[in-house]
Amino acid sequence: VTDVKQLREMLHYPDDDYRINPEVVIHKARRRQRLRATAAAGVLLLAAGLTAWSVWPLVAADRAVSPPAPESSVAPAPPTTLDPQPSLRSTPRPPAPPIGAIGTIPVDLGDGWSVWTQGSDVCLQYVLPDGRILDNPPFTCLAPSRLQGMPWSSVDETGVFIHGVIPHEAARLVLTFPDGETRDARLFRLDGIPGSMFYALHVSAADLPNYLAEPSPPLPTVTAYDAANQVLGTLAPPPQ
Amino acid sequence: VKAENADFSAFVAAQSPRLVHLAELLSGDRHRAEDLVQSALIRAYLRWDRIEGDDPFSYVRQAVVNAHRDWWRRRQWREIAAAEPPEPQPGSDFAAAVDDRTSVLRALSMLTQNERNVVVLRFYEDLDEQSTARVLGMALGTVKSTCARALRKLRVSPELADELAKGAP
Repeated sequence: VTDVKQLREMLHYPDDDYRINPEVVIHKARRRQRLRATAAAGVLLLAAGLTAWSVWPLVAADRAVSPPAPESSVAPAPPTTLDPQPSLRSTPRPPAPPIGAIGTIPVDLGDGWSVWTQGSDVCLQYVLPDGRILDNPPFTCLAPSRLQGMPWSSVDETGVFIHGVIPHEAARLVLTFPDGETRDARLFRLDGIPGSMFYALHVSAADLPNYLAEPSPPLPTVTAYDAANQVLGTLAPPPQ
Repeated sequence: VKAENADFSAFVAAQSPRLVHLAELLSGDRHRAEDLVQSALIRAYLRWDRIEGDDPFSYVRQAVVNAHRDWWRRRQWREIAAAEPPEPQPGSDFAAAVDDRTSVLRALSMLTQNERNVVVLRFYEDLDEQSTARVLGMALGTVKSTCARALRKLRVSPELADELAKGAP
Protein backbone atom coordinates (compact mmCIF):
# COMPACT_ATOMS: atom_id res chain seq x y z
CA VAL A 1 0.00 0.00 0.00
CA THR A 2 1.75 3.10 -1.17
CA ASP A 3 -0.65 5.62 0.24
CA VAL A 4 -3.67 5.66 2.44
CA LYS A 5 -5.94 6.70 -0.44
CA GLN A 6 -5.45 3.27 -2.01
CA LEU A 7 -6.02 1.61 1.34
CA ARG A 8 -9.28 3.54 1.75
CA GLU A 9 -10.47 2.36 -1.65
CA MET A 10 -9.59 -1.22 -0.87
CA LEU A 11 -11.45 -1.16 2.43
CA HIS A 12 -14.53 0.05 0.56
CA TYR A 13 -14.64 -3.10 -1.55
CA PRO A 14 -17.93 -3.74 -3.37
CA ASP A 15 -20.52 -5.28 -1.13
CA ASP A 16 -23.87 -6.96 -1.61
CA ASP A 17 -25.71 -4.18 0.24
CA TYR A 18 -26.90 -6.60 2.93
CA ARG A 19 -29.60 -5.11 5.13
CA ILE A 20 -30.51 -6.27 8.60
CA ASN A 21 -34.23 -6.94 9.00
CA PRO A 22 -35.51 -4.34 11.51
CA GLU A 23 -38.46 -6.58 12.43
CA VAL A 24 -36.05 -9.17 13.73
CA VAL A 25 -34.13 -6.59 15.76
CA ILE A 26 -37.34 -5.20 17.30
CA HIS A 27 -38.57 -8.72 18.10
CA LYS A 28 -35.31 -9.63 19.84
CA ALA A 29 -35.15 -6.33 21.70
CA ARG A 30 -38.69 -6.71 23.05
CA ARG A 31 -37.97 -10.26 24.04
CA ARG A 32 -34.89 -9.09 25.93
CA GLN A 33 -36.98 -6.42 27.64
CA ARG A 34 -39.50 -9.04 28.74
CA LEU A 35 -36.76 -11.33 30.02
CA ARG A 36 -35.18 -8.51 31.99
CA ALA A 37 -38.53 -7.60 33.51
CA THR A 38 -39.11 -11.23 34.47
CA ALA A 39 -35.63 -11.50 35.95
CA ALA A 40 -36.13 -8.28 37.93
CA ALA A 41 -39.46 -9.57 39.25
CA GLY A 42 -37.74 -12.84 40.21
CA VAL A 43 -35.06 -10.96 42.14
CA LEU A 44 -37.72 -8.94 43.98
CA LEU A 45 -39.61 -12.11 44.81
CA LEU A 46 -36.42 -13.75 46.05
CA ALA A 47 -35.56 -10.70 48.14
CA ALA A 48 -39.07 -10.71 49.62
CA GLY A 49 -38.75 -14.42 50.37
CA LEU A 50 -35.38 -13.96 52.06
CA THR A 51 -36.72 -11.07 54.12
CA ALA A 52 -39.70 -13.14 55.26
CA TRP A 53 -37.36 -16.01 56.12
CA SER A 54 -35.05 -13.81 58.21
CA VAL A 55 -38.01 -12.15 60.01
CA TRP A 56 -39.74 -15.45 60.77
CA PRO A 57 -37.58 -16.49 63.79
CA LEU A 58 -38.23 -13.10 65.39
CA VAL A 59 -41.98 -13.52 64.95
CA ALA A 60 -41.82 -17.04 66.34
CA ALA A 61 -39.83 -15.88 69.39
CA ASP A 62 -42.31 -13.06 69.97
CA ARG A 63 -45.20 -15.55 69.89
CA ALA A 64 -43.44 -17.83 72.33
CA VAL A 65 -43.35 -15.16 75.06
CA SER A 66 -46.79 -13.70 74.34
CA PRO A 67 -49.71 -14.94 76.44
CA PRO A 68 -51.98 -17.30 74.55
CA ALA A 69 -54.97 -15.64 72.99
CA PRO A 70 -58.32 -16.49 74.61
CA GLU A 71 -60.10 -19.26 72.84
CA SER A 72 -62.75 -17.99 70.56
CA SER A 73 -66.12 -19.60 70.41
CA VAL A 74 -66.40 -18.61 66.82
CA ALA A 75 -65.21 -21.33 64.52
CA PRO A 76 -62.74 -20.25 61.91
CA ALA A 77 -64.34 -19.47 58.61
CA PRO A 78 -64.07 -22.30 56.11
CA PRO A 79 -61.91 -21.56 53.12
CA THR A 80 -63.94 -19.99 50.41
CA THR A 81 -63.71 -21.10 46.86
CA LEU A 82 -63.71 -17.44 45.85
CA ASP A 83 -60.33 -16.98 47.48
CA PRO A 84 -58.01 -19.18 45.52
CA GLN A 85 -54.24 -19.01 45.84
CA PRO A 86 -53.08 -18.96 42.27
CA SER A 87 -49.43 -19.16 43.18
CA LEU A 88 -50.01 -22.49 44.94
CA ARG A 89 -52.10 -23.99 42.21
CA SER A 90 -50.37 -26.26 39.81
CA THR A 91 -50.76 -24.80 36.37
CA PRO A 92 -51.29 -27.45 33.73
CA ARG A 93 -48.44 -27.61 31.28
CA PRO A 94 -49.53 -26.29 27.91
CA PRO A 95 -49.64 -28.85 25.14
CA ALA A 96 -46.50 -29.18 23.07
CA PRO A 97 -46.51 -26.56 20.33
CA PRO A 98 -47.12 -27.81 16.82
CA ILE A 99 -44.37 -28.16 14.30
CA GLY A 100 -43.52 -24.62 13.29
CA ALA A 101 -43.88 -23.18 9.82
CA ILE A 102 -41.18 -20.62 9.25
CA GLY A 103 -41.92 -17.17 7.81
CA THR A 104 -40.16 -13.81 7.68
CA ILE A 105 -41.61 -12.51 10.96
CA PRO A 106 -40.12 -14.15 14.06
CA VAL A 107 -42.55 -16.62 15.53
CA ASP A 108 -42.43 -17.53 19.18
CA LEU A 109 -42.95 -21.31 19.26
CA GLY A 110 -42.84 -21.62 23.03
CA ASP A 111 -40.30 -23.42 25.18
CA GLY A 112 -37.80 -20.70 24.30
CA TRP A 113 -37.76 -21.19 20.55
CA SER A 114 -38.23 -18.52 17.90
CA VAL A 115 -37.76 -19.03 14.18
CA TRP A 116 -37.91 -16.88 11.10
CA THR A 117 -36.37 -16.58 7.68
CA GLN A 118 -34.11 -13.85 6.42
CA GLY A 119 -33.64 -14.00 2.69
CA SER A 120 -32.91 -17.63 2.01
CA ASP A 121 -31.51 -18.21 5.49
CA VAL A 122 -33.27 -19.94 8.34
CA CYS A 123 -32.80 -18.05 11.61
CA LEU A 124 -33.29 -19.61 14.96
CA GLN A 125 -33.15 -18.30 18.49
CA TYR A 126 -33.28 -20.32 21.68
CA VAL A 127 -33.61 -18.87 25.14
CA LEU A 128 -32.18 -21.09 27.84
CA PRO A 129 -34.26 -21.60 30.98
CA ASP A 130 -31.89 -19.25 32.85
CA GLY A 131 -32.58 -16.45 30.37
CA ARG A 132 -29.38 -16.60 28.34
CA ILE A 133 -30.06 -16.25 24.64
CA LEU A 134 -28.35 -18.39 22.05
CA ASP A 135 -28.56 -16.23 19.00
CA ASN A 136 -25.01 -15.88 17.84
CA PRO A 137 -23.52 -17.74 14.91
CA PRO A 138 -23.61 -20.55 14.32
CA PHE A 139 -26.89 -20.57 16.16
CA THR A 140 -28.81 -18.40 13.71
CA CYS A 141 -29.34 -17.66 10.09
CA LEU A 142 -27.88 -20.42 7.99
CA ALA A 143 -28.85 -21.16 4.43
CA PRO A 144 -30.69 -24.48 4.21
CA SER A 145 -28.22 -25.53 1.50
CA ARG A 146 -25.45 -25.31 4.07
CA LEU A 147 -27.41 -27.47 6.45
CA GLN A 148 -28.33 -30.34 4.18
CA GLY A 149 -26.85 -33.62 5.13
CA MET A 150 -25.20 -34.16 8.46
CA PRO A 151 -26.02 -32.06 11.48
CA TRP A 152 -24.00 -29.08 12.57
CA SER A 153 -23.15 -28.87 16.19
CA SER A 154 -21.80 -26.08 18.32
CA VAL A 155 -20.41 -26.56 21.78
CA ASP A 156 -20.05 -23.77 24.28
CA GLU A 157 -20.32 -23.37 28.04
CA THR A 158 -24.12 -23.74 27.92
CA GLY A 159 -23.99 -27.16 26.32
CA VAL A 160 -24.32 -28.41 22.79
CA PHE A 161 -26.55 -27.05 20.08
CA ILE A 162 -27.25 -29.33 17.15
CA HIS A 163 -29.19 -28.42 14.06
CA GLY A 164 -29.63 -29.49 10.46
CA VAL A 165 -32.04 -30.26 7.69
CA ILE A 166 -33.51 -33.64 6.89
CA PRO A 167 -34.89 -34.53 3.47
CA HIS A 168 -38.07 -35.96 4.99
CA GLU A 169 -41.50 -34.82 6.13
CA ALA A 170 -40.95 -36.32 9.54
CA ALA A 171 -43.29 -36.35 12.51
CA ARG A 172 -40.52 -37.03 15.00
CA LEU A 173 -36.75 -36.79 14.96
CA VAL A 174 -34.54 -38.57 17.44
CA LEU A 175 -30.85 -37.95 18.04
CA THR A 176 -28.90 -40.91 19.42
CA PHE A 177 -25.67 -40.02 21.17
CA PRO A 178 -22.63 -42.35 21.18
CA ASP A 179 -23.42 -43.72 24.65
CA GLY A 180 -26.96 -44.65 23.59
CA GLU A 181 -28.69 -41.61 25.12
CA THR A 182 -31.51 -40.31 22.94
CA ARG A 183 -33.14 -36.91 22.69
CA ASP A 184 -36.06 -35.66 20.59
CA ALA A 185 -35.24 -32.60 18.48
CA ARG A 186 -37.62 -29.77 17.61
CA LEU A 187 -38.86 -29.86 14.00
CA PHE A 188 -39.71 -26.90 11.80
CA ARG A 189 -41.22 -26.88 8.32
CA LEU A 190 -39.28 -24.89 5.76
CA ASP A 191 -41.46 -22.58 3.67
CA GLY A 192 -40.88 -23.15 0.00
CA ILE A 193 -38.87 -26.32 0.51
CA PRO A 194 -41.41 -29.15 0.58
CA GLY A 195 -40.07 -32.48 1.64
CA SER A 196 -37.40 -31.05 3.96
CA MET A 197 -37.52 -30.08 7.60
CA PHE A 198 -35.22 -28.13 9.85
CA TYR A 199 -34.43 -29.59 13.23
CA ALA A 200 -32.69 -28.25 16.29
CA LEU A 201 -31.84 -29.41 19.77
CA HIS A 202 -30.05 -27.85 22.71
CA VAL A 203 -28.71 -30.16 25.39
CA SER A 204 -27.39 -28.49 28.51
CA ALA A 205 -23.93 -29.29 29.80
CA ALA A 206 -25.46 -30.75 32.98
CA ASP A 207 -27.65 -33.11 30.98
CA LEU A 208 -24.91 -34.90 29.05
CA PRO A 209 -21.72 -34.23 31.05
CA ASN A 210 -19.72 -37.18 29.74
CA TYR A 211 -20.50 -36.43 26.14
CA LEU A 212 -19.61 -32.77 26.49
CA ALA A 213 -16.45 -33.52 28.45
CA GLU A 214 -14.89 -34.95 25.31
CA PRO A 215 -12.59 -32.55 23.50
CA SER A 216 -14.43 -33.06 20.25
CA PRO A 217 -17.81 -34.67 20.95
CA PRO A 218 -18.85 -36.92 18.06
CA LEU A 219 -22.11 -36.10 16.35
CA PRO A 220 -25.19 -38.11 17.21
CA THR A 221 -27.05 -40.32 14.75
CA VAL A 222 -30.19 -38.68 13.41
CA THR A 223 -33.28 -40.82 12.85
CA ALA A 224 -36.47 -39.48 11.31
CA TYR A 225 -39.83 -41.16 11.97
CA ASP A 226 -43.23 -40.70 10.39
CA ALA A 227 -46.49 -40.39 12.30
CA ALA A 228 -46.79 -44.21 12.49
CA ASN A 229 -43.32 -44.37 14.08
CA GLN A 230 -41.79 -45.96 11.00
CA VAL A 231 -38.21 -44.99 10.26
CA LEU A 232 -38.02 -42.61 7.29
CA GLY A 233 -34.27 -42.30 7.21
CA THR A 234 -31.10 -42.21 9.27
CA LEU A 235 -28.05 -40.01 9.10
CA ALA A 236 -25.05 -41.55 10.82
CA PRO A 237 -21.90 -39.57 11.52
CA PRO A 238 -18.78 -40.55 9.59
CA PRO A 239 -16.21 -42.59 11.53
CA GLN A 240 -13.78 -40.33 13.39
CA VAL B 1 -44.24 3.52 19.64
CA LYS B 2 -45.23 3.04 16.00
CA ALA B 3 -43.51 6.29 14.94
CA GLU B 4 -40.47 5.30 16.98
CA ASN B 5 -40.41 1.90 15.30
CA ALA B 6 -40.72 3.52 11.87
CA ASP B 7 -37.76 5.82 12.61
CA PHE B 8 -35.73 2.94 13.91
CA SER B 9 -36.60 0.74 10.92
CA ALA B 10 -35.60 3.53 8.54
CA PHE B 11 -32.30 3.91 10.37
CA VAL B 12 -31.64 0.16 10.17
CA ALA B 13 -32.50 0.05 6.47
CA ALA B 14 -30.24 2.99 5.69
CA GLN B 15 -27.25 2.21 7.87
CA SER B 16 -27.08 -1.55 8.24
CA PRO B 17 -25.05 -2.18 5.04
CA ARG B 18 -22.34 0.23 6.22
CA LEU B 19 -22.40 -1.21 9.73
CA VAL B 20 -22.18 -4.80 8.48
CA HIS B 21 -19.27 -3.85 6.23
CA LEU B 22 -17.52 -2.18 9.18
CA ALA B 23 -18.13 -5.22 11.40
CA GLU B 24 -16.86 -7.55 8.70
CA LEU B 25 -13.63 -5.55 8.42
CA LEU B 26 -13.23 -5.71 12.20
CA SER B 27 -14.07 -9.39 12.63
CA GLY B 28 -13.13 -10.89 9.26
CA ASP B 29 -16.30 -12.99 9.23
CA ARG B 30 -19.56 -12.11 7.54
CA HIS B 31 -21.89 -14.09 9.77
CA ARG B 32 -20.24 -12.73 12.89
CA ALA B 33 -20.45 -9.24 11.44
CA GLU B 34 -24.21 -9.57 10.96
CA ASP B 35 -24.57 -10.78 14.50
CA LEU B 36 -22.43 -8.02 15.98
CA VAL B 37 -24.52 -5.42 14.17
CA GLN B 38 -27.74 -7.06 15.23
CA SER B 39 -26.63 -7.05 18.89
CA ALA B 40 -25.64 -3.40 18.63
CA LEU B 41 -28.97 -2.51 17.03
CA ILE B 42 -30.87 -4.29 19.80
CA ARG B 43 -29.06 -2.13 22.35
CA ALA B 44 -29.83 0.93 20.26
CA TYR B 45 -33.53 0.05 19.99
CA LEU B 46 -33.81 -0.27 23.78
CA ARG B 47 -32.39 3.28 24.15
CA TRP B 48 -33.80 4.74 20.97
CA ASP B 49 -35.72 7.58 22.66
CA ARG B 50 -32.48 8.81 24.22
CA ILE B 51 -30.12 8.42 21.26
CA GLU B 52 -32.40 9.23 18.34
CA GLY B 53 -32.02 13.00 18.61
CA ASP B 54 -28.29 12.76 19.18
CA ASP B 55 -26.18 10.70 16.76
CA PRO B 56 -27.54 7.16 16.54
CA PHE B 57 -24.92 6.04 14.04
CA SER B 58 -22.04 6.91 16.39
CA TYR B 59 -23.82 5.10 19.19
CA VAL B 60 -24.33 1.93 17.15
CA ARG B 61 -20.79 2.07 15.74
CA GLN B 62 -19.42 2.28 19.28
CA ALA B 63 -21.65 -0.65 20.29
CA VAL B 64 -20.37 -2.71 17.34
CA VAL B 65 -16.75 -2.01 18.29
CA ASN B 66 -17.43 -2.87 21.94
CA ALA B 67 -19.33 -6.05 21.05
CA HIS B 68 -16.52 -7.12 18.78
CA ARG B 69 -13.90 -6.54 21.47
CA ASP B 70 -16.02 -8.45 24.02
CA TRP B 71 -16.38 -11.35 21.64
CA TRP B 72 -12.67 -11.30 20.87
CA ARG B 73 -11.85 -11.65 24.56
CA ARG B 74 -14.16 -14.57 25.21
CA ARG B 75 -14.24 -16.48 21.90
CA GLN B 76 -14.43 -20.11 22.93
CA TRP B 77 -17.08 -21.77 20.88
CA ARG B 78 -16.24 -24.04 18.07
CA GLU B 79 -18.25 -25.50 15.27
CA ILE B 80 -17.94 -28.96 13.84
CA ALA B 81 -19.12 -29.39 10.28
CA ALA B 82 -19.48 -33.04 9.47
CA ALA B 83 -20.22 -32.46 5.81
CA GLU B 84 -18.65 -30.05 3.34
CA PRO B 85 -21.45 -27.59 2.58
CA PRO B 86 -22.20 -27.12 -1.10
CA GLU B 87 -21.04 -23.69 -2.25
CA PRO B 88 -22.91 -21.67 -4.88
CA GLN B 89 -21.38 -21.44 -8.33
CA PRO B 90 -20.57 -17.76 -8.63
CA GLY B 91 -20.55 -15.75 -11.80
CA SER B 92 -17.47 -13.76 -12.78
CA ASP B 93 -18.59 -10.43 -11.20
CA PHE B 94 -19.43 -12.19 -8.01
CA ALA B 95 -16.10 -14.01 -8.10
CA ALA B 96 -14.21 -10.73 -8.62
CA ALA B 97 -16.04 -9.07 -5.73
CA VAL B 98 -15.34 -12.02 -3.48
CA ASP B 99 -11.71 -11.88 -4.58
CA ASP B 100 -11.35 -8.20 -3.58
CA ARG B 101 -13.01 -8.81 -0.27
CA THR B 102 -10.95 -11.93 0.43
CA SER B 103 -7.68 -10.16 -0.34
CA VAL B 104 -8.49 -7.24 1.96
CA LEU B 105 -9.71 -9.45 4.78
CA ARG B 106 -6.67 -11.69 4.45
CA ALA B 107 -4.34 -8.69 4.58
CA LEU B 108 -6.16 -7.37 7.66
CA SER B 109 -5.85 -10.76 9.31
CA MET B 110 -2.06 -10.29 9.36
CA LEU B 111 -2.53 -7.40 11.79
CA THR B 112 -3.05 -7.61 15.51
CA GLN B 113 -6.60 -6.92 16.68
CA ASN B 114 -5.66 -3.41 17.87
CA GLU B 115 -3.91 -2.62 14.59
CA ARG B 116 -6.89 -3.86 12.67
CA ASN B 117 -9.35 -1.81 14.73
CA VAL B 118 -7.28 1.34 14.23
CA VAL B 119 -6.89 0.82 10.47
CA VAL B 120 -10.60 0.15 9.97
CA LEU B 121 -11.75 3.15 11.98
CA ARG B 122 -9.15 5.49 10.48
CA PHE B 123 -9.45 4.47 6.83
CA TYR B 124 -12.90 2.91 6.43
CA GLU B 125 -14.81 5.11 8.85
CA ASP B 126 -12.50 8.08 8.14
CA LEU B 127 -12.25 9.00 11.81
CA ASP B 128 -9.40 11.28 12.83
CA GLU B 129 -6.84 10.03 15.32
CA GLN B 130 -8.55 11.74 18.24
CA SER B 131 -11.94 10.15 17.48
CA THR B 132 -10.34 6.75 16.86
CA ALA B 133 -8.66 6.95 20.24
CA ARG B 134 -11.97 7.83 21.88
CA VAL B 135 -13.92 4.99 20.22
CA LEU B 136 -11.26 2.41 21.04
CA GLY B 137 -10.49 3.75 24.51
CA MET B 138 -6.82 4.13 23.64
CA ALA B 139 -4.31 6.93 24.18
CA LEU B 140 -3.75 9.23 21.21
CA GLY B 141 -0.06 8.32 21.06
CA THR B 142 -0.93 4.62 21.02
CA VAL B 143 -3.30 5.15 18.10
CA LYS B 144 -0.57 6.96 16.16
CA SER B 145 2.09 4.33 16.77
CA THR B 146 -0.35 1.44 16.17
CA CYS B 147 -1.48 2.98 12.89
CA ALA B 148 2.09 3.51 11.68
CA ARG B 149 2.98 -0.09 12.55
CA ALA B 150 -0.13 -1.43 10.78
CA LEU B 151 0.62 0.56 7.62
CA ARG B 152 4.19 -0.74 7.58
CA LYS B 153 2.84 -4.30 7.68
CA LEU B 154 0.21 -3.64 5.00
CA ARG B 155 2.80 -2.09 2.67
CA VAL B 156 4.59 -5.41 2.47
CA SER B 157 1.47 -7.59 2.52
CA PRO B 158 1.51 -9.90 -0.53
CA GLU B 159 -2.30 -9.88 -0.59
CA LEU B 160 -2.54 -6.15 -1.14
CA ALA B 161 0.53 -6.06 -3.40
CA ASP B 162 -1.41 -8.33 -5.80
CA GLU B 163 -4.43 -6.07 -5.65
CA LEU B 164 -2.32 -3.01 -6.34
CA ALA B 165 -0.57 -4.70 -9.24
CA LYS B 166 -4.01 -5.51 -10.73
CA GLY B 167 -5.13 -1.90 -10.39
CA ALA B 168 -1.87 -0.42 -11.71
CA PRO B 169 -1.96 1.12 -15.23
